[in-house]
Amino acid sequence: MWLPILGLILGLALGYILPVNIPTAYAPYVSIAVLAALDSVFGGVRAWLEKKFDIEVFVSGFFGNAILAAVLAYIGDRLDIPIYLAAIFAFGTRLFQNFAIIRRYILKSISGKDKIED
Amino acid sequence: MQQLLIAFFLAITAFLAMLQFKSPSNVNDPSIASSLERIENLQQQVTGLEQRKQELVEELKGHQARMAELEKQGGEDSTYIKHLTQQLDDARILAGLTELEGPGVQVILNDSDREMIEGSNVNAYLVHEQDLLSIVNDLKAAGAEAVALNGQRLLANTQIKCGGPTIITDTERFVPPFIIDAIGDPATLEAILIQPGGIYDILKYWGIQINVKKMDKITVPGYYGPVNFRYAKPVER
Repeated sequence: MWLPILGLILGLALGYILPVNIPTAYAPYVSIAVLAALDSVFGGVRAWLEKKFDIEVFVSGFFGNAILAAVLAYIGDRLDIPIYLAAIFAFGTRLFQNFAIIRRYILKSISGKDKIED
Repeated sequence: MQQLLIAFFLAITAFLAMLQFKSPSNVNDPSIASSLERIENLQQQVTGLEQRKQELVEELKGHQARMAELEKQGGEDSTYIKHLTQQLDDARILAGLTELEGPGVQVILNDSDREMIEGSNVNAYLVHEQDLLSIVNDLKAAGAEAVALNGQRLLANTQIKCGGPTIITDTERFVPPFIIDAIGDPATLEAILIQPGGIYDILKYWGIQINVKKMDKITVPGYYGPVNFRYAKPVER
């Protein structure tokens, strides 16, 4: 359980330290991609807790969703259709669902009703 | 293994999220923020260059004075050199490189002080480059021998053009008030400007402040900018 948190901290630290900047023109698309990636990660955690984790599904979902979301948002901007709203709804809803399930697992593991091996 | 994978991708996500967080778009409008910075930067550059130009102009004036002195010294030795120097001086006067004085007029222009009529165009109340061009042209038509705008000599190839809120000539930018000094017959120069239907009447209609003053003695500076003929060459016969 500590490894993902370590990864989170490492990512934040690297992003803070490294002198990389996203061009402002692409910032909206990157933010959509981040949302999609976050959704994939939550999905992965949930699958792992449910012991249904599949590496191929996870990796393809991570990159596929992020790239598709960013590209759709870009196309939407070009066509004057706010497609990014669809991405926000889809990924946002799933993110909260996944988080709810993860929360239940964690609560269960704390109360000891159903121990999850590490 | 699975944990490691999740950790790795969470790291990527966090990295991107942090980049987004860092970018100025979350602080305030990036286009305004960066462009303001850029404008300030460019303004500083312009100020620096203008200062440097002023220094160089001073230096140039010093060199010109030294050159005149040397020419005078050379003229004392030989009549031939004296003759050449005389020709050179005549050519300089013709080219507008010499400071000249004589009788003439001084025209002072400023933007309108009249209250604007509701719904009228604000441009009608400002001094424009056409107004200056028109005055300079009239003065030349009336036989002005040397004309200067705000202390800058106007040569045959000097342009007067619009530069947003300023008016630009060869090397300088000017803001109102505009002062045009012209050497010539004061009565003729004044007459062409204040004739009925002339530029004076037109500008006065809009309340633009124009003041034509006859002068017994007026000084027009020499041109000190670069004179480059890059394309035109004398025809050899």
